[in-house]
Amino acid sequence: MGELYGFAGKILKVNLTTGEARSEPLEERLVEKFIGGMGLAGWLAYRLIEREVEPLSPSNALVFSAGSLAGTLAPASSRVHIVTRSPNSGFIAYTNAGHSAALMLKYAGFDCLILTGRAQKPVYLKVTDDDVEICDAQHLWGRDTWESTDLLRKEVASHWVDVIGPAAENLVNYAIILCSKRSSYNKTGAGTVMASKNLKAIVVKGTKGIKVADPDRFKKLTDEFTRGIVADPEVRLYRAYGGSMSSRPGFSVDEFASRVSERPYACPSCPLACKHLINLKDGPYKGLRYRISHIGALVGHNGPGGPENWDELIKLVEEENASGIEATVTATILDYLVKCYQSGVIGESEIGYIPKKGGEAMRRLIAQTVKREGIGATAAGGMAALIQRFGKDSEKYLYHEKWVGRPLTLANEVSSYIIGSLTNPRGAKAEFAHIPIRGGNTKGLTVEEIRGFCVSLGLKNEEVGRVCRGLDGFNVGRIVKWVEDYSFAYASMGFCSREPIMRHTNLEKLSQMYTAATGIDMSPAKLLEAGERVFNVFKAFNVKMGATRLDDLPSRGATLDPDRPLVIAGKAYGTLNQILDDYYDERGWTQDGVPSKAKLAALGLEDVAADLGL
Amino acid sequence: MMRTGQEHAIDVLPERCTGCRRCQLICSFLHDGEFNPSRARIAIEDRDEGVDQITFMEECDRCGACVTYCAYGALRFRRKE
Repeated sequence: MGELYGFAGKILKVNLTTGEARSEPLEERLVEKFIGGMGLAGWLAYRLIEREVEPLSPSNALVFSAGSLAGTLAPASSRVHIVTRSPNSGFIAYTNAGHSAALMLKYAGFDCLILTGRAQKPVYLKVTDDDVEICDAQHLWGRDTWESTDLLRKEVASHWVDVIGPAAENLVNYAIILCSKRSSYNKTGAGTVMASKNLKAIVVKGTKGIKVADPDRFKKLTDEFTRGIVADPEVRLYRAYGGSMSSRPGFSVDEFASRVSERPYACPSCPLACKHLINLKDGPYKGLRYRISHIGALVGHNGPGGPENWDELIKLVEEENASGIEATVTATILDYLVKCYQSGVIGESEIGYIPKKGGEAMRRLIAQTVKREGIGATAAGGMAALIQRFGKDSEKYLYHEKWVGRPLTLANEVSSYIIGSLTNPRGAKAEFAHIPIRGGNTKGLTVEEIRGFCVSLGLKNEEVGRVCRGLDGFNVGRIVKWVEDYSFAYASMGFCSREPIMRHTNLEKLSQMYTAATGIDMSPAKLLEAGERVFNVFKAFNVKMGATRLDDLPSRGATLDPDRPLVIAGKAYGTLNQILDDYYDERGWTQDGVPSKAKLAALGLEDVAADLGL
Repeated sequence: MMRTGQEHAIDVLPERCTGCRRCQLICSFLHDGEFNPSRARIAIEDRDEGVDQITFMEECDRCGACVTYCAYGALRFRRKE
């Protein structure tokens, strides 16, 4: 095999039980089949994690994988994905970060890191190019993420640091990993899996280079992509406010700019800069200063918990990141407790106090959850643990998709965001239903734009005809399938899903960039098929773990009954179940949401079909 | 556009730097044929609570690619007096 351009070319495998670290070559055939990054991580995790492997057992694998173009100058291409089995849902967990130590790992010569086993005592993993060391971390265990990062930096100087906090150490099911205080792996409990391995941190320094196959062409293509992003009229908005801000009362964009944010910062290679150095200029938490990503989204994620204003949100997010606990699940749980108390399902004695919403209440719940005290002992187990304790009927006060909370309502629209969020194998992840045009959601796009997107994917006339038919000029279940395939290819290359990034490229340009970087002849059709293959692997992971059609529907707390006709703005869309029928049909899956043997065979995944007993 | 260091200096406006490292990526790509921040002739020191520290190495020939590739206006040419 010749040199693998664009990639570092190796996988690092560390067994924390034995302390053994070994490196294996990254096979070109795997790259070609699964693109890289998220796709590769998904495949490696699928092969390694058998159905009987409990999420917090030593056998669970935590797989990090840097995108195919990560580490290059391709704009906003620095995403590293983690795939593992989620302790929160039992299904696939995948989450990405832009400033991870695992990006630095690519410069050390490794595209992927596979962690298995469990160390006997707390340790951290130190990688300096080819030198891999497992170091004692007992002095760090119990310390929060900020303090741990500072201490590690004193020990390792210029290494990048991925670290967990006390929430993960105490096995709160939805703990995060904080990356050099600049980025984080959120949702689904990847931090908890890391803690279950007694691994406090990963610190990496890499000094090797990444070469591309056709430097001139790669530069030309990525320059063109960058120019598009920089000229985007919303760049100013993202730099000033982190994106389209919520219109929630108490969170004005002007106030954010004048007294909350000091300046924007960016992930490596990104010309957008949607993250912010926070610096509260006055108020009760005056002087609070830290870096945070996508603050606009955090207004929404924390929304169900009801922080009152910027001051309370900023204080809350600081504590969430310090303890390493995920915002959306925490906020959804507080919302649930308040509703259960108000409706008499749970009494004051069971909670220990009268629950209410707000920043202070959120922080109280976080403190209890992290220490597993009082109601926090149950909350640490996540939503499923609460339902188990307080009864199935209480689930109507809890909105989740595959046990991940989601602040958006289902009642107001039938769109790619709403449906794609449900069909996503992780759950509550609408960004993979982004169409790379304008705002990304089908809501607001014209029929011509959606048809144009279908044509750009190379769909045949009959497929375009099938997708572009329906009340709004398209069938939402069918279009979601194609958007997901595209998004999975896009994300596997390492690109960020912010709208001003994704709308300045397309399938053809992605295939050109991939080929110029790797030297692998990746036609648009081949790239899209690889995206579909990756999506099917992610789905197969869930099917292996017992997922059924019911897991693609919202929890009982949804305002959307799957068998109720959806009538929105005078239009009758049919039921959610009918939309799901169309989606499964377009995917070539059974009506129980299982990839068919024929579909898996067509994608070259016969071994997955056999594994699933098809 | 390549310029020569004899005619120009490069000023740093640190408050505009977002830490994206695009300057390091283009520098190592043009001079060494690979993307490798550690080989770049411009160094960025991470500082959590403030402005990242930017310095030029002795080897820098002021070709100016970093100025062109900075999307934030943090680097600027100045004609030498």
